[in-house]
Amino acid sequence: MRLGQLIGIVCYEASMHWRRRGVLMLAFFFAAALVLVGLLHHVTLEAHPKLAELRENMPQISKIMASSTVIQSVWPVALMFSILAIPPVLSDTIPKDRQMGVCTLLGSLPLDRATYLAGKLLGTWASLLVMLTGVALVFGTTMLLILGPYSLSVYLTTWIIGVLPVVFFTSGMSVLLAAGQPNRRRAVFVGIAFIVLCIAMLVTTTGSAKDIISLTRPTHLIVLQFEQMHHLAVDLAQELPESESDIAMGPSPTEDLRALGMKPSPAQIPLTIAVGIVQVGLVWLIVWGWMRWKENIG
Amino acid sequence: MISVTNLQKTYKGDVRALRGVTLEIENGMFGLVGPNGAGKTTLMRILTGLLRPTAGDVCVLGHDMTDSYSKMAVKSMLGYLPQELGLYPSLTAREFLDYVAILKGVTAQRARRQQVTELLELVGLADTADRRLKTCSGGMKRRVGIAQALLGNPRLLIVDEPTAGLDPEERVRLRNLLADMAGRRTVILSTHIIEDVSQTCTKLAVLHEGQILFHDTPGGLVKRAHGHVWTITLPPGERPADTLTVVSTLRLDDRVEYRVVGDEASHPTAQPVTPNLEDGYLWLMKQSAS
Repeated sequence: MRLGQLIGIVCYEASMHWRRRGVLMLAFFFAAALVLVGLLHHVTLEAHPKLAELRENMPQISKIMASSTVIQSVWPVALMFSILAIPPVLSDTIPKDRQMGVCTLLGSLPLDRATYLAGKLLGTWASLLVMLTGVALVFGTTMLLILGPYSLSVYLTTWIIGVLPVVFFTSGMSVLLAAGQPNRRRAVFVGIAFIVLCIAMLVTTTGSAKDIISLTRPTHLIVLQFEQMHHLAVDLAQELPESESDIAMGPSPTEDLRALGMKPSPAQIPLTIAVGIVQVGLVWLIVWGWMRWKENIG
Repeated sequence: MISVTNLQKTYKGDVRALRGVTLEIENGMFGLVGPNGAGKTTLMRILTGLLRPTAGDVCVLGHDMTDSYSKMAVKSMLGYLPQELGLYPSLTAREFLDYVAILKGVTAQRARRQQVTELLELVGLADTADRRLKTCSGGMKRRVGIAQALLGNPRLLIVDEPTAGLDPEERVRLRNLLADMAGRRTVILSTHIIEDVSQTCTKLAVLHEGQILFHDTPGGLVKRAHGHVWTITLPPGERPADTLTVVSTLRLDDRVEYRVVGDEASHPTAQPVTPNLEDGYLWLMKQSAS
């Protein structure tokens, strides 16, 4: 694998993703959906008479509630976006080279399959990284204007440890699983099949250890979001006067999950990320092996 | 130098594209001609390492093409223009060439930019270099294809129908460009346009149904047609005998002059003429058919 070639493919692939407008459209709809859900949360909270009164008098409560709104808006939208929108849009990344006839030229160049495949994948991720950064900035700024200050560390954790891996894993899988398809249409079908698989995995989530292998990374949703919400609830309970402490969201959502038989633990977060990396790596190896085999049988 | 021995390629469904081709190609410009489906593109794709032969030996620039490492070594010395070149429509000509240059291993940015600019000028695309490829005409795209093949100063240049889609002026320009390049390297030109071969190639091979029918100099092919080319003048509405192959037709005031090749032209107006390469090619095809 040559580094110069790899960097070149990554840069041009990312640039082409943006120019084809697929990623641009994803960014627009993602940001719009986030703002919409954020506004809905905000309106719901504003309707709570006691909270509105308390927020007037105690700015710290306002910050905690704003943080909670932001987290609860990002999680469901990001998950739906990574499962439903990314696979059909990005699954044609490699098949379109074949459909456009660029593969013939690429095959005559001193470019090995590993570099090509890695470049395509990393280029897609680079374009998504730019997109997620833009969406996070737009949504974050919009929410700042609507809700006022919120916890930046909670917001960044949600994006960096939560959304980013989920989006990277689903996009990586979509790109790789459709890599062998001869044209874009077939690739989109693979993308749709991947959506069905993800939904099936999501609805069979049990909250147990086996969830770490789920392609939709529900452990993120269950553990990270609930842990964040739990910390915010504790903060809120500390800030509220004793007479109003019932407004805070229970003793701990994690405890509630345990009561339901689920066993979430913060240690599952790095584990599910590691498993995701292994899953993408394995699929990458299989696709690379298949490409080499096809090349050798000519 | 390229050496091909008893090369065979059979596709799925028992389609035999090459049936024991043996060829030696030296430095200079080499023409590969033949009708559609003769196996020219298959041969070129094997030489570029895109396809694996079913049987036979291929040695390109001293490298055995059945070995993956050797194949990569050949690819780093190769410039290839496929018959149907796919381009990224969202990139400009300059960006596309820059991308291909990176993939060819020209990673030093300054050298790459300079090479791309020079090639854009060489193929006459300097003024439109920053237009997206999706807005370029077929001829312009073809020129981008030629420029990308020349990137990295390849020792071996393989061009499949390079003049297809180009206007006559561009065709002549490209032909001259390829002929200039051939002085320093091996250029393999596959084409249907015999004139392109006659103007540029020092050696040629005629491929038909996966077999080599002829492999020598263009002069040798012309020589074969001596005594088999005539002009026949006929009144409008009349046609030469079916045993003759019409090469060209010239409409005069009250009659039509046909240039024909065949075993014998028994018509009273038949005049023997000096053959050219196209006559030689058609005579060879006629002989092969009979």
